[in-house]
Amino acid sequence: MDYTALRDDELMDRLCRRDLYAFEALYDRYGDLVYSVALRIVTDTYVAEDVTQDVFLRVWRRPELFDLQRGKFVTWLLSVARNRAIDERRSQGRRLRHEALPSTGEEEDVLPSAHDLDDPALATVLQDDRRAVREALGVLPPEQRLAITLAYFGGLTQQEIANRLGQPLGTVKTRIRLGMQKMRGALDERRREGER
Amino acid sequence: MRMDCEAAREHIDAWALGALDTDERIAFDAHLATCTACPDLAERARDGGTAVALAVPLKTASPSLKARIMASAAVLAGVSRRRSPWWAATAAAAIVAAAGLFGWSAYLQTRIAVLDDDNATIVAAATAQSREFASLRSQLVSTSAATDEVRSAQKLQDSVLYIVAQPDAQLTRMDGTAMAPEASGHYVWSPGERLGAFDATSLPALPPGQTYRFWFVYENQWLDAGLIDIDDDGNGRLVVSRLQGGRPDRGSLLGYALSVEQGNAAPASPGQLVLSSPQQ
Repeated sequence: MDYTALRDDELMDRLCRRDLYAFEALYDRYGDLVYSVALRIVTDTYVAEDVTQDVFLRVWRRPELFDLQRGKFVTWLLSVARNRAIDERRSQGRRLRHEALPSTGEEEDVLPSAHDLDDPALATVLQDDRRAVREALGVLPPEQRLAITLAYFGGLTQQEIANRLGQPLGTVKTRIRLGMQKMRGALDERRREGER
Repeated sequence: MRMDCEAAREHIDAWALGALDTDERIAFDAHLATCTACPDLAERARDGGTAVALAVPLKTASPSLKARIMASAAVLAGVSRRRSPWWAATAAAAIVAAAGLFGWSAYLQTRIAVLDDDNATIVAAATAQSREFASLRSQLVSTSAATDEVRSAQKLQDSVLYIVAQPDAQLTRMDGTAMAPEASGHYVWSPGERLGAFDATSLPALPPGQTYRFWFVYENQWLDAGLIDIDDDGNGRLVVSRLQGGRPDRGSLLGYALSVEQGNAAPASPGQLVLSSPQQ
């Protein structure tokens, strides 16, 4: 059987029946993406590998936690990866509270860039989604993009972002709300164009 | 704090990004649990929040990470498969055939845990006793460096396990010469992965200034594959991914060898041999 041809939900069905080949196919499809998200958040390759291992073994042990009715597999997987990485980042912060926390990298490297988009292991549809998100983020005003990036990858609350940037809390809330609305609008527009 | 629909929708994007503080999040979740209209909007916002992750520049995880994850999953599954895939081989190797290697790996994991605990203890002490902060901080730096060193060794070990587990892996035995009769070694080559792993045991300790260097022995050229470090027990490992400097007329590969050299600079020809494969 060609596992690479199976959809995510079909692979997850097989995972529930303890099919290691399905698990390998999911790792091949999303391993680098999960690792990249973890690395962006924790900024340490060893810790990012630990987070990636933890996320995938969690999927292997408890595949039933994924509920297809509540959305796409990749959305759920990235959410698990992000939460796990943020926990690790906060834990690092507590352990090394006398050290400077790793930089959040600010927002520069989420701007559209052609050279790192092509990964043959990622499903084509995901490549399109990645390109769309980066383009949508790329057209946002830098201050909105920065607020979104600090929240998502830095794990900061709106109040913490306001403190870090020296801006009023209301300004940060507006930046996040407007930025996310614009990004959603750009993605919806692109989706509609794709359907025409 | 209580939220109505209007307030919830103002907070919905920050919620999707995980950027609400605790009070706001509790109020938002409470509203979501009782509202019939907002949950759909929240799901859509959550998709938008997670979409941000897709913007991340893609990095490639090391092959050894996949080997580690698949081997762990195979172990959790009990390694009872209808056929024998590579990860089952890895798991089996981890449990049985490569018990020695895995013991070393387990030792390194234990060392990492101990050193991590040391880090935590040092940080806690630094908080409680600020007057000793400067000296403890320097201890923390050196302990962290030791942790990194052990982790590097762990990654090298993972790479060796990965290569050994490949279905096309070819094993060449290497015997100690008169200079080191107790020593032995193996070179494992995976043509599919184009990766090789050298593993030696019982190598004699070298005086300061001398190093061990691994060679590919061709008919007309000895090709330098790199330096290896040995631990206190005389064990050394090297992963070979790509050799440089090979001449077009080097001829057929005859085998492998380990030599003793002066210093770290690559010599034109090998020094005294301590290990060689029988083909030579």
